[in-house]
Amino acid sequence: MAMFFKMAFRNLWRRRFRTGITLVAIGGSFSLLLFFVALTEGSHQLMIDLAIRMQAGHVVIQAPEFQKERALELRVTDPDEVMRRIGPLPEGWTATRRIFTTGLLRSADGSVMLDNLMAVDLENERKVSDVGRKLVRGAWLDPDEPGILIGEKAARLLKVDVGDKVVVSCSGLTQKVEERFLVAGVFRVGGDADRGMAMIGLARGQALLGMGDAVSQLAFFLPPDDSQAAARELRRRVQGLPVAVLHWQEALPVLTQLLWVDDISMQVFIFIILVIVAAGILNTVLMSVMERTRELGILKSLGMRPWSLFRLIVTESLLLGLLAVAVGAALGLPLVHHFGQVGIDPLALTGGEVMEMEGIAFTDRIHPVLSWASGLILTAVVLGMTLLSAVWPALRAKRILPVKALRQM
Amino acid sequence: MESTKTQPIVELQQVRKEYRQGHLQVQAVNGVDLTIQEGEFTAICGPSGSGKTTLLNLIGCLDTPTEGRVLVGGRDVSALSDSALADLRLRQIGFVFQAYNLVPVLTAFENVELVLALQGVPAAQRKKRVLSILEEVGLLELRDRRPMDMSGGQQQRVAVARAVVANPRLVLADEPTANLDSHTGAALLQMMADLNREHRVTFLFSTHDPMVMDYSRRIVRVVDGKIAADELKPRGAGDRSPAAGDPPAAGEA
Ligand SMILES: Nc1ncnc2c1ncn2[C@@H]1O[C@H](COP(=O)(O)OP(=O)(O)OP(=O)(O)O)[C@@H](O)[C@H]1O
Ligand SMILES: [Mg+2]
Repeated sequence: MAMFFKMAFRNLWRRRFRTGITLVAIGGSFSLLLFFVALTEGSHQLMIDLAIRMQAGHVVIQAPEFQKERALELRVTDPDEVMRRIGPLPEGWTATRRIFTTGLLRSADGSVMLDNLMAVDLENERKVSDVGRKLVRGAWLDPDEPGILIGEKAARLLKVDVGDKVVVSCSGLTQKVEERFLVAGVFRVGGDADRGMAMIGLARGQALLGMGDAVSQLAFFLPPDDSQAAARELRRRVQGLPVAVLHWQEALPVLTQLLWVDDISMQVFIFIILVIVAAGILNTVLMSVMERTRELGILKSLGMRPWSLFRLIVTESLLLGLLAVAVGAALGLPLVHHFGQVGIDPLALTGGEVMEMEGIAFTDRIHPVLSWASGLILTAVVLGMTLLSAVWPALRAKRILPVKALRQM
Repeated sequence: MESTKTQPIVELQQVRKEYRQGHLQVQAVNGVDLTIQEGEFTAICGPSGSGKTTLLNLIGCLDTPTEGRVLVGGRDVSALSDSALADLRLRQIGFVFQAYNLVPVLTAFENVELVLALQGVPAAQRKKRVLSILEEVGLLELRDRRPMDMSGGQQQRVAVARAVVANPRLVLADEPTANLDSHTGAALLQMMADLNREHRVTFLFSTHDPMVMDYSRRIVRVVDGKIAADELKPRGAGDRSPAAGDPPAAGEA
């Protein structure tokens, strides 16, 4: 009923100072929530993206036991057959083959442990890996040269630079092996990877390790859509082969766990903010009911039904909530948009500490993004909270006894 | 009382209302029998604390008796649910209280319109009714004012307009003139007497005000929750003894 909205709106307007304070408080909290959720989503996307490019793919195919123990002998022996089964890749997909092992890197001046020595498909890995984009010196590997890409810290420890010789020694499939490489490039991706990671070409790696055509992993990179569905489809196609198809959430359990914990702490934060918001609304609405006891009593004597009074108060809070959401969106969305454009230095968030996970450092700028789903859910939750906190005051209004209310002046 | 042919609009049978204040029990209304006929203009008077307001609240279905029966339009109201009572008040009873009757956020027009809106009357029809009743109480010019911007007398006139706009059978007014000066009070009473004569609205007052008693034809005196006297003057508002539909002019205050 139009009359209801008129009364509800004017009641808010009548106490515009108090309404304003409540609006700023709820709207401010809402904008904070929007920004915080966008920041979390943005950083998650960054982490997923980086971790996937450095360590896995959106979907990976590897030997069934490889996930448990990253041993060289747990390999995909016939990757060509796997690719044949899968057939031509859809538009926008990239598949790259990798061998993962460990070893020792030596120069005349010292040695470093390589806990992640990768032999990679030079053409395809370059498209997806972060290493190619983060070379501080030198260039990507040339298939005709016995090149190796090493991290900045390793280069410093070994006192080598682009063009210098280094020796890689490691366990091959059947025996211990050793080979000379020329440093082709030095990368800086941040974190332990700058010391313990190195990349060589796939063909050279296979020869060195005695792997034949075998690889540790086939990694698939897809455009950002439903990677779970893609994993299911790949699983269907390679059925019968002695390989496992893993979605990144399975392939990177530590990351998945971390994101989950982060999500939980975000939800706790949201919950706390919402409780504060609810208390604010409860206070505002309850006060407005209490100080209008006589007025509400008169409405009741005139013949307004108890539930109509309830609705009147709920309408008032709903209006307050809608205004607050509008204020919050007006404050929060430009903020999200601005930082979405310029990004936020992760060091500013952690206070100078580089966040690292399994050797991957997150040093890229975080771009907050707010998905429609999150925005709408947050809006719905805040409005729901508003309605919920109006229930008690509205019940009080419903139960007002005119006889008592009228004795109050 | 006078005309036994018509169905009484209000009938109280042995009504008692007891309030408890800690250990103390107050008999606010103590065994009242009262019948009000359609078209009456009646004042209930008595000293402060004698139970006038309680009596009006019982009749207006705002309160329930401890004992006895209250019949409005021949119906026992004790059997009705809260919603049904609200509906009864909405459609059959108008209220005017001593002061601060109006919804502060609504204009004079909207305050009067509210009752019709609650009844579900369409907007166009509402507007016509409200404008005509505001004209009748002489407040057409002030229709867009909020209560805050009106005098006490003007507010009470809006309250009366609101009480009668939906053509209720009964208007209950609890000391409507108490906060007004005698001149303004007289104007308000004259207005109600006119409405009583022209629309046959039944008015029932509680009052200390001798002027209200002057206007009223029937005066019920209440002392300590009991009816002490019930007087019928030969003349006054609510006089329907001559040929029906042609009552004499209202009291000569
Ligand atoms: N809610 C209540 N609780 C306790 N006692 C009450 C309550 N309401 C009324 N009373 C008592 O009932 C008695 C009658 O009160 P009521 O208000 O009906 O008197 P009144 O005739 O209207 O008085 P006044 O002329 O001062 O308005 C008084 O003694 C009053 O104290
Ligand atoms: Mg009283």
